[in-house]
Amino acid sequence: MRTSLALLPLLACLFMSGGQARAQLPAGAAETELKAAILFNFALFTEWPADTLPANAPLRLCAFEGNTMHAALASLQDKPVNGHRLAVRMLPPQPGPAQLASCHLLLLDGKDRERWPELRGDLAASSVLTVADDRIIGANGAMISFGIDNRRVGFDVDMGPVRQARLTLSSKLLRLARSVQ
Amino acid sequence: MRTKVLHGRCHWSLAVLLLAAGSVRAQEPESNTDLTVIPLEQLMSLEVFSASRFNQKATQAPSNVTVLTAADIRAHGWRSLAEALRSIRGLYTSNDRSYSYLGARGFMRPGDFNTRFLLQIDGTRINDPVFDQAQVGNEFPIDLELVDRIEFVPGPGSSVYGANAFFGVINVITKRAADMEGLRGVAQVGQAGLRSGSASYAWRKEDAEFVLSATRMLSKGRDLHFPEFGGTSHGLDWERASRLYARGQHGPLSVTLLSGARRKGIATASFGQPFDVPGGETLDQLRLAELAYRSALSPLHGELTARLYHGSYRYDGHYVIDEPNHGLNIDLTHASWWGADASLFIQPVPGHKIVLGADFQYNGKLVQENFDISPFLLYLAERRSGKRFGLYAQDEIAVGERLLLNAGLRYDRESSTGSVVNPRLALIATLTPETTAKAIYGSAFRAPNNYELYYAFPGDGGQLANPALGRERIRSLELSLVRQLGSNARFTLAGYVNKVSSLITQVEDEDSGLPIFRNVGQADARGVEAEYEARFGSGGSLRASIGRQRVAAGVSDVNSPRTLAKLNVASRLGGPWFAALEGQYVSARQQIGGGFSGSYSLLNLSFYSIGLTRHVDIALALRNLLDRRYADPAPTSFAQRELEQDGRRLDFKIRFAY
Repeated sequence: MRTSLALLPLLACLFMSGGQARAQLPAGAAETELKAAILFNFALFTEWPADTLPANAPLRLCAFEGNTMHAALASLQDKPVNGHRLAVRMLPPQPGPAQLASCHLLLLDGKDRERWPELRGDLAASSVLTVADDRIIGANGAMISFGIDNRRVGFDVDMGPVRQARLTLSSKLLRLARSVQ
Repeated sequence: MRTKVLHGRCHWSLAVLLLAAGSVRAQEPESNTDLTVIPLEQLMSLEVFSASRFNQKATQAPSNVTVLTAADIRAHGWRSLAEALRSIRGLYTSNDRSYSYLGARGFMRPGDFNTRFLLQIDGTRINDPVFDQAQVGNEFPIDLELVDRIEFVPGPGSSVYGANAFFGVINVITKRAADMEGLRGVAQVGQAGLRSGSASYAWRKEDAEFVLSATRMLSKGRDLHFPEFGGTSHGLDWERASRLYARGQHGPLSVTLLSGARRKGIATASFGQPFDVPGGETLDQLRLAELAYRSALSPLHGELTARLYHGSYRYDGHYVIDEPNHGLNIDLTHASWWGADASLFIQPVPGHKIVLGADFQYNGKLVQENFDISPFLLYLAERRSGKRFGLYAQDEIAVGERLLLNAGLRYDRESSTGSVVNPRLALIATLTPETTAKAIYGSAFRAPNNYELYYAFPGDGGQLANPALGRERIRSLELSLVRQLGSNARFTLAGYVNKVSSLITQVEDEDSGLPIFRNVGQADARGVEAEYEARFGSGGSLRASIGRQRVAAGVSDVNSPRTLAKLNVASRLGGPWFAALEGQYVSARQQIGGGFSGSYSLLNLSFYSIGLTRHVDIALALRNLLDRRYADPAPTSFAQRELEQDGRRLDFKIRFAY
């Protein structure tokens, strides 16, 4: 009984404080929208070589037609990213090499599994940040891969291809990653 | 694709939301918040919803549902459903070192088999048809690693679920492939000789997925000292469990197969067995095969669900006979059943949400036997069959802007006790945008189980059957106030009155002097509960509750604590490291035949990692941190008045994911 009474002031105290803590933060979000917002942060915290992303040039975010996150990506269109304008491009099933290399960020999902091995070869010499919303692609050479853990979106980073593409990820991004290898 | 998977998962809980009494809404996406302005740290702490999820603000749900998530299970390292459920407001457990028992709002009858809770896995009833028991110990057939969440809806739920939804409905929802893709393994070692291992593989592509999982658990248990016997039982407290689970889904169709078996040694010399003699053990095995169809009905913003399932349950009890050669008496129950159900959720016009459903179950084989092996002596050989059928309807009506009326009615017919109708009525008033008041009235029933109806055992120490038993009833009124505090915290205050009548109670037969079940008990329970819940941005959470209840019972007020208090906190320590603390206070409980088991306070502490490396995570759990001595009142079949529970126990877990 004494124990239970002792909980009451604790309750009261939490009652007062908890509500104010993060009143502005939504309790949750749709998965695609949340991933899109996190993807936006990848763009924010990545440095591209100046030759691939000159000042004031648009930062191109690409995905193949039919990508699950299509609708959510559209909401990122024209958002400013470190002085660049974000441009969302939907790629046709067979993109030309120039089309592919003009992307700065490429988002892949489960539908892209078959084209990934070839794509990976095509991208080897370019500076495209590859983000996989798929476990298989994520485990096979994508730079960043999304995963859901604990009902929360997390991401893993593979530094090998990042370095090869001459990209620099900020330490903040690496600190928030679930794992960096 | 992923959305679709999540979408599917959310539907499973539709069942409980409905029951909860059914107001589920296809809600518009949360808000117009621009997520890109939120700092990355906070984005990563946000919970994922599916955009099309049938989402309902908890404040407006017509019942005060508690949801324990996979995150809670991982944080506290709960090893059984009972350990998870005892953290819920108003619930408490008891353990006789063979089975775990669940009590609600001051009501737990020692020796009962949790017959007053409906237990479901993904919406399918798993109470067996002989004892109607909800098995919440290690005999529960699903590994908690596979559980996405546990939903508990307190109060009578017979208006949707029929029999046994008496004090509440427990729905265990399993993870989908998206939550556990790839190969995973868990290894656990702990004090009292605990060794446990599990492995799972999950795969998905587009709208197809499957999950496979297997678990094996071994525990040596402890040598237990019982003053009543003036001695210690050696090596008899062992436990072994194995579980298999497979689920495949393609589009709207899914197939689930599950099997769980648990053997437990009897260390307590229950049922008049000789003390410290090996050989006594129980086996509980449950199997279920299910084919389900679930599809959205877009024109009416609704959903159609249908299921066909086959289940079997087997209980083998080996009891050592108290005579010089220590022969074995075998007590066994074998049951198998077929069932089908369908439910339809539609929103035909604005302001109405309608649920219609029907279910049928045919219990083809209900066998109870009892015999001595050598010399062979048959005491009981009962073979029965039975049926149950139910039809229900429910509507949620928006009466103006601020008032919701939720009304449900169900008709049930059982072969043992005939027809019964159970209503439920809930009024939900939005007082201010943050404050909701609810008034919920409902009734529920429990039909006598086959054990109470037909189990008979001649002679001294025997028992009489009573095929004339009727059903038990409960009527309940609950008033509650829910206040949302910001977007991440909630305070709930609830008061209730439960009136239980025609309670099936074991009494002594006037003529023979043998025990027999009769509908003679009644109980009147009143109580108040308060709960505070919050989630913090950094991945932390807090849930604290206190409940006071008083049960006035004609026959039995045994094992009814007046006060329950609970605290569950989890918080990030830094980097991938987290800690969780669980506190429980249970006041004194009366034993059978007078006397009290003292009050106790327990603390459980755990440390765990999330994302230690890409492939490995570890967890360390300390149960009963302060090594408190406490005991639970014993059922009648024990010579002991109370049974001491475990002291401090440490266990270590390592998880792999590839």
